[in-house]
Amino acid sequence: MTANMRFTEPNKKVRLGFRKIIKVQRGQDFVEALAWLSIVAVVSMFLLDGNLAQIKLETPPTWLTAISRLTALVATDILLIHMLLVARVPWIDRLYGHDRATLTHKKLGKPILYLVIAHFLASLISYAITAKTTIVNEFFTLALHSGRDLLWSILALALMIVVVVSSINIARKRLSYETWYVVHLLSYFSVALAVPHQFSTGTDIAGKWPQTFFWVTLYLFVVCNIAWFRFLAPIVGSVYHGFKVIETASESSDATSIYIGGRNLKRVGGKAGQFYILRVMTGKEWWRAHPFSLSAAPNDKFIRFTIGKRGDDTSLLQLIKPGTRIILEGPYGVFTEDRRTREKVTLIAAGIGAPPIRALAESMAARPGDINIIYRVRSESDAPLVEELKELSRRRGFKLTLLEGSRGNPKSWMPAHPENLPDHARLSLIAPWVSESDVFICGPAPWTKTVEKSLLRAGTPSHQIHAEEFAW
Amino acid sequence: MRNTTKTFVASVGMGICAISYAIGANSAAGTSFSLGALNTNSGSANPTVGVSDNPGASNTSSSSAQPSSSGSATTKTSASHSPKPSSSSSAQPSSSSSNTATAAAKKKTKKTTKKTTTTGSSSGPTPAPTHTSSNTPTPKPSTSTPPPSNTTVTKTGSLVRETVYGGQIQVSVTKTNGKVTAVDLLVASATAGRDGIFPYLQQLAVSSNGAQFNTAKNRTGATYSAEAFNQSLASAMSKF
Repeated sequence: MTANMRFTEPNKKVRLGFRKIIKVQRGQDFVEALAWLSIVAVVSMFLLDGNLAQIKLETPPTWLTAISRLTALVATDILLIHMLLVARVPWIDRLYGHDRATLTHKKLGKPILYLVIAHFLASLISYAITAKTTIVNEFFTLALHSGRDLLWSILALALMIVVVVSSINIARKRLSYETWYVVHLLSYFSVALAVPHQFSTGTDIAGKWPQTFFWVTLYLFVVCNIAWFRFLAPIVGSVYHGFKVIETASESSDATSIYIGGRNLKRVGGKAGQFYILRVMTGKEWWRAHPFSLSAAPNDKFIRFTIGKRGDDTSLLQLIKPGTRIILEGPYGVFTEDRRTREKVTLIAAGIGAPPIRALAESMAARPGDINIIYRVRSESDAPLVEELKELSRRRGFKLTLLEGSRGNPKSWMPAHPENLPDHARLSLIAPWVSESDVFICGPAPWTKTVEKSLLRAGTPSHQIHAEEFAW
Repeated sequence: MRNTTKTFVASVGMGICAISYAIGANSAAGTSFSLGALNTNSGSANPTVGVSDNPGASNTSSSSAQPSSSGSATTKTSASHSPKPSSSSSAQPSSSSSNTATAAAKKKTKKTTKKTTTTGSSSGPTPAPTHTSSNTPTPKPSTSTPPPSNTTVTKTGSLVRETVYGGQIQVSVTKTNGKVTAVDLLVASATAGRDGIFPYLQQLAVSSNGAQFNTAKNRTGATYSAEAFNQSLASAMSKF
């Protein structure tokens, strides 16, 4: 095994200090300000119309129409932001990381649906009152006898409900990922179907050219970002580089490394700690995408992922044959040295969370003793990448601590201790300057949470704790 | 977001909202009509709810009091009106009655519009003026007797389809002595309930002597019906 090890030269230097974090915050503030101002813009579109002055409480249609318009405008704006968040746009990814963007995307889903339903009900009821019919009657009038645009928008709402319901936690647990994924693709249709009625019946848009221009710009901006970054860029990049599996190597009983080669690998541009979304181009598998972290620092010879056997898909991936075409989307994530502010670094990994830690340990700029690696394993003999980490620590003079065995109590992230010392105390013993170091954690989500807790108790400020959640 | 940025964005946002509210309220000062407002109050036969900036608003209120009689009696020519003050004679058939008249009137008006014939008043002593003559210098005023009610001319506008909801509207305009005295609905099949706006539009068209309803300031809840009405009205007016 040792003969097979291929290491890349570490980075020569790294910029430390809080200044670069302030730069990131500035970027985040800029993007968030833009997002909020886009909401302000649509609200002002509503206000510019001057309808607010006409509202009379005793006549429901006046304020129902206002509610309908306002909710529609705000909902559409948030919906576009919501879509942009998962378009895998590099300028969002670099600022927030894929996980935070995805989590925000998840949070926004339901509020958007509520707003759209409010819009639907408000306009329906106000029309029904105006027309002096029942709501059901008016619904069918609008759906069937008022042009196609409204019928489509009603369909869009139905699709949106299906998509959101399929994404709530209870449903996600029952549905397979594939079912959920296919249902989620419907959301593109939902968004598209709702467009015509905005331009033909939207009081604040139809026939007002500045508003129409603004609205079209918003839509085009989001559509272009999605089309390029989500769909075209990965295909163009993978065709250009011609990614193919070179070889596979078993790392442990349940983990395999896949080496991927291609032309001009220097220009792929990933960093240690980042991940790619991998699409195996075989007849059955091409439509399933899997996120994997780099398990070796980027170099010009190969891209390596180490894949643990978890679901049925990942076990299929272990059997992948050399020569198989691969489409890579990425790199994504901010789990990199770019976020490092301190000279000292603590890397904490558990099980199949080792790959990015291994890549970071390989590439980070450090003097001997700067980096402290903690690796939580079930058993040392069957831990992925453990030999490589040992060899790396030996060569670069890092301290590697293997935590082996089953844990002492359910709230602990460490193996049992004879004197039942709390985790944060043991952490301080293993890594004495943990409070002054940047800590990179990679492991299962609940485990990561407990590690973060004991880090905070050990005195590490939260802005020095870096962890990437698997948000899918 | 950092706190400074939050404060900044919040204040800028509120500023923009305040300014656009002010602009909006200003530009909407001339807005007058809400279909919803009309309909919920229509039982009291007062269609001028919400009318604020309408020159003829003061004398229109009486008009809706006599909707059915004229509507049923005169199907398409309103020329049989006895001379009355113009504003009150503009009383229109209520939308429902005009709808029933529609089917019968439709075929006939189709023909007449093609030829752009003038439907002169049959009872009046004056025959219809020549087709080519423009509106103001009618032959009659030059003669000795000036009976204002004598030169009554009705022109029919084109049949217009609403852009979105697919209703159909056709109006005819009656001018007496160069002044619009009546705007009648020949076809008025707006989407359920939207035809509630037509009486209002008819009054407005009469009181403003054939000018169109300002759809830019329209907040009626019957946008497309109003637009279609405007188009038909404009085509009728252009025929005089």
